[in-house]
Amino acid sequence: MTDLQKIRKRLHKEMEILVDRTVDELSEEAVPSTGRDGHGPHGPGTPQRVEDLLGEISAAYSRLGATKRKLSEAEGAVRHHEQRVRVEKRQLLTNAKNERVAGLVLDEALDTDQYRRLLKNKESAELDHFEARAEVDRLQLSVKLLRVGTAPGGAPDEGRDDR
Amino acid sequence: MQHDELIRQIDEAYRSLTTAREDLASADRALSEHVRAVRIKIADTLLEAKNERTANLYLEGALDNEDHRRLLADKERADLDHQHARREVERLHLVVKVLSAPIPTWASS
Repeated sequence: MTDLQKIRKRLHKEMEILVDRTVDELSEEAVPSTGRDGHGPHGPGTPQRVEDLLGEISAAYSRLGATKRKLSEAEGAVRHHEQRVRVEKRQLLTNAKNERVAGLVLDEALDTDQYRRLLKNKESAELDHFEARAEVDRLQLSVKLLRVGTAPGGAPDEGRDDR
Repeated sequence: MQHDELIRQIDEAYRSLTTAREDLASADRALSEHVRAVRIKIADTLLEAKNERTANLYLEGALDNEDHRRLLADKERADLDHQHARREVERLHLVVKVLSAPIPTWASS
């Protein structure tokens, strides 16, 4: 098993643990909140909202795992390409007088459509991963807010100005 | 403030953050590609430069144009928008933190 496969396996396991833990926490929250605070059918802590959130959380963590895997692959592809070009140009790079000349040799060797495509793939994977992380972060904040509403005496003051 | 209003603000803040991040990445890539293209265009001149300082001066001269200034301005604007979006998310985190904190006894009396 390669290092990448090991990392993927570990990452997948960690994601599963995280999802299970979040689902357990939310399920615990759902029980005492039912119909206690007088909110509407989709108000804070209602079973409907908790159920929706559970679905969103599972989807968000699955997406986070998938985007992380794609990002690792895209980074690996860029690294592999650069390494191959360095090996191909090793004679020129060894003969280069200094770092600047070596940098220019490498820049020219990497000035190809294939390299640009790999960089673009990597950038796209980075953005997808960032978006997936932001979605998990958003859901964590929503859960935190939901807890405020369901905690005894913890409902937010409606007249409070947060700005 | 109502829960629903805060949830709406949180959703909006994360949407803005994602958009700002995409714009920043795009501006960053455009600038890097421009600098790389100019470096390759004047590679011969840069190779002939006696030292790093001279090479940098050549590069600065080649980058002293409207195109480059526009790309720099775009990147700066995208950077500021991204910072602004991040601050909005931080603000909402703080608001939720304040709401979830226990009310001190001196404040409730």
